[in-house]
Amino acid sequence: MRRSSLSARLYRRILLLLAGAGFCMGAMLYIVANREISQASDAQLVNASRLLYMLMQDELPALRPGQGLAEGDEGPLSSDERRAFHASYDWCMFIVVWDQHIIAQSGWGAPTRHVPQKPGLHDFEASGDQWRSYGLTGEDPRLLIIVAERDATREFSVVPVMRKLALPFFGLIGVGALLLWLTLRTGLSDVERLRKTLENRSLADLSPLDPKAWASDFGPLIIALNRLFERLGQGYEKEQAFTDDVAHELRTPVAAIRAQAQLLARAAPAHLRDEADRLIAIVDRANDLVDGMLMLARLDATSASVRSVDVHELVADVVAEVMLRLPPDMIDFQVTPGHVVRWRCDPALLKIAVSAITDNAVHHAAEGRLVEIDLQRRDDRLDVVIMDRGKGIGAADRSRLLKRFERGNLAVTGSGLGLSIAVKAIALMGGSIRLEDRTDGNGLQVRLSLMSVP
Amino acid sequence: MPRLLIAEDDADLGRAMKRSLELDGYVADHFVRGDDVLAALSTSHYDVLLLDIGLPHMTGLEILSHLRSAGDATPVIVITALDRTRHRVAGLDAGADDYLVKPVELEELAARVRAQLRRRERRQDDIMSLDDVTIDFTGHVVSVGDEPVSLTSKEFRVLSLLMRRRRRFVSKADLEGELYDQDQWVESNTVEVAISALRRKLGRNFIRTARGLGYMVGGREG
Repeated sequence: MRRSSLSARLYRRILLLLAGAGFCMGAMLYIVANREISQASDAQLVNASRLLYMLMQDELPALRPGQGLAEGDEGPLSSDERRAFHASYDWCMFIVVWDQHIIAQSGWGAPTRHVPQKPGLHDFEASGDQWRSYGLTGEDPRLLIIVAERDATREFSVVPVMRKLALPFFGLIGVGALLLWLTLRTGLSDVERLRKTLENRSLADLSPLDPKAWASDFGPLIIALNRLFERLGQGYEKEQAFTDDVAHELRTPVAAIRAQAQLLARAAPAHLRDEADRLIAIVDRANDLVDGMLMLARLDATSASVRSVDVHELVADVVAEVMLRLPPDMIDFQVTPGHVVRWRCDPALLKIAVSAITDNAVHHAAEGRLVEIDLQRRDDRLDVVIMDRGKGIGAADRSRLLKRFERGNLAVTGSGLGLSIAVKAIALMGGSIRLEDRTDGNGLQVRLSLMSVP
Repeated sequence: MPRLLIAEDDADLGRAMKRSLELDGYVADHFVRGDDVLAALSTSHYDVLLLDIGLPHMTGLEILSHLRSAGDATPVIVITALDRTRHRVAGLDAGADDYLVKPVELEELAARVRAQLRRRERRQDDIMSLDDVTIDFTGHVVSVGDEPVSLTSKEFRVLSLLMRRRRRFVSKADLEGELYDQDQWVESNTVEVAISALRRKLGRNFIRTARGLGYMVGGREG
C-alpha cells in the first residue's frame, strides 16, 4: 500500500491533536459553564422564593394554624402580587405551605404532590420532566415557600450561547487548519525540492549534492545520499570497465574466427566457399549480438541531451550507412518528405533507434524490396514511421517482440535485440514505439513517436 | 615490397591478418607483446603499422606516443575492440592515421593499408579512389581501373561533389547548386542526365539513390 506524504501525515496528526485538545477544552468549558449557570439558576430560585416571602409579609400575621386554602380564597397572595412575581419569574411555579397545608400556588407546573415540600434545593421528576426546587422556611417555621423550574429551562440558556459561539468557532478552526497547512508546506518545502532534484536526475548523473544548499536538518540525509551516489558511481565505473573488457574479450576472438573464415573462403575450393561464407555470416550474427548487448548496457547509463535536429538529414545518414552495407540494388529506400524536418530531440539516441528499426525493416523487406520512411510532423509530436513490405507481425506477437532476444520470423537472421534497443533509446527521450499493420497492403510499420520538448 | 608490422595480442587473429596481407603481396611481421613491437621498430623499417590497443607489457597507445614523440611519422592504423568515441578520439589524438573496430573485413584492411601507402607517397588529398574509380580533383581526370574516362564539365562537377561527400546522400538541390552557372540556366533534368551518364561510364551501381534523399557514392576507399 502506498504511504501518504510526510506533510499530509503530519497535517492529519496535528489536526487530530488540535481537535482532541479543542474537544477537551470545550467539554471543560461546558462543564464549568453549566455548573456556573446551575448555580446562577439556583440563586434565582432562592431570590424568587424570597420575593414571594416579601410579597406575603402583610398577610402572614393573619394566618392561623391548620388553616387551608378555601374555595375562592386568594390566600396570602393577591392578584397584583402574583402578577408582580410573574413579571420577574414567569418560568417558575410556586407553592406556599402553612402548617403542612397548601395555602397558595402558581396554578401551573408540576402536580403539587410531586413537589418535595422540604426546605433547601431538590431535584424531582413530574410528568416526564426533570425539575429543580427550592424550599424557603419563613421566620415562622410553619411557613414553607417552594419555587421550582424545569431543568430544560436551564439547558435552554446554554444552547443560545453555543449557537452564538459556533460560527466564530468553526471559522477559527478553518483559518487555523489553513494556516497550519501553509506552515507545514513552507516548512517541508525542502523535502519537495529534494524529491524534485532526485527525480530530475538522470541515471548517469551521480554528482554529489551540496550540503550547504539544504536546511541543516537535511545534513545527515544529504551526506547519506552523497555516499550512495559515490558507491553507485564506483559500481557504474566498474560496470563500464567490465563492459569495455567484455567488448574486447568477445570481439577479439570473434574477429579471429571471422578472419580465419575469410582466409578459408579465399583459399577454399569452389565447392566449400558457400560453407565458408555461411561461417562468416554466423560470426557476423555473433558480433551483432555482442554489439547489441553492449549497446543495451551503455544505454542504461545514458541520459538524453536534447537539441534542434534535422531529422531528415539524420534519416539520410542512417539510410546511407544501411545501403552501403547491402549489395547494390538489393533494397530500395524512399523517404518522405524530401526536405528539412527539424525537431528537438537527442540525435545520437534517435539515430540508434532509427538504425535498429531500419535494419529490422531491411531484414523483413526482402519480398517487397522497398523500405519507406515517413516523417509525420504534428503540433505536439513527430512520428518517424518505418515501413516494410514483409509478412507483417500478428497483433498477439507485437508486445513480445519489443522484449530482448525475440524474433518475429525465425528464418530471418538478427540478434533479436534491435527492437528492444530502439525501445530503450526512444524511451530515454520520453517517446514511444508502436508496431502497426500497414494501411496500404501487407507489411509492418513501426511508429517512433517523439513528444514535443522545450 | 611494402613491409607491415602487425601488433595483435590474439595470436589467431594476428596470424590470420598476417596471412591475408601476405596473400595481397605484403611482407608482414606479427608481434604479440608491446615491448617486442618497440624493439622491432627500433631495428627495422616498416611502411605501415597495424596496432592493437590492448597489448601486454606496453599498450598500443604508449607505443604510438613513443613513436610520435621521437618524430617517427610511419602511418599507424589502430585496430581495436574498443569502440567508444573517447577511445577513437584518444587513438587519433595520440597520432593514429586511421582507426578500425574489430571485427575487421580483411579486404577493407588491405584497402586501408593501400590508402595509407598512397597517402604517404603523395601526402595530398587531391586524388581520391572509391572502389575502382579514381578522381584527380586538380587535374580534372577520372579513371576506372587504369582506363581514363572522358567526362563533361557538368558530369565532373557532379562526381566531384559526390566524391567529396562520399558515404552521405547529396540532395538534388545541392547538385543543382553545384551546377548553377550565372550565365546559363540549369535545366530541371540536368542532374538526372549527368547521373545517368556517370552511371553509364563508371558502372551502374557506383552511384546509389534513394527517393527523397538524393544520390550517394560509397564504395571501398583505396
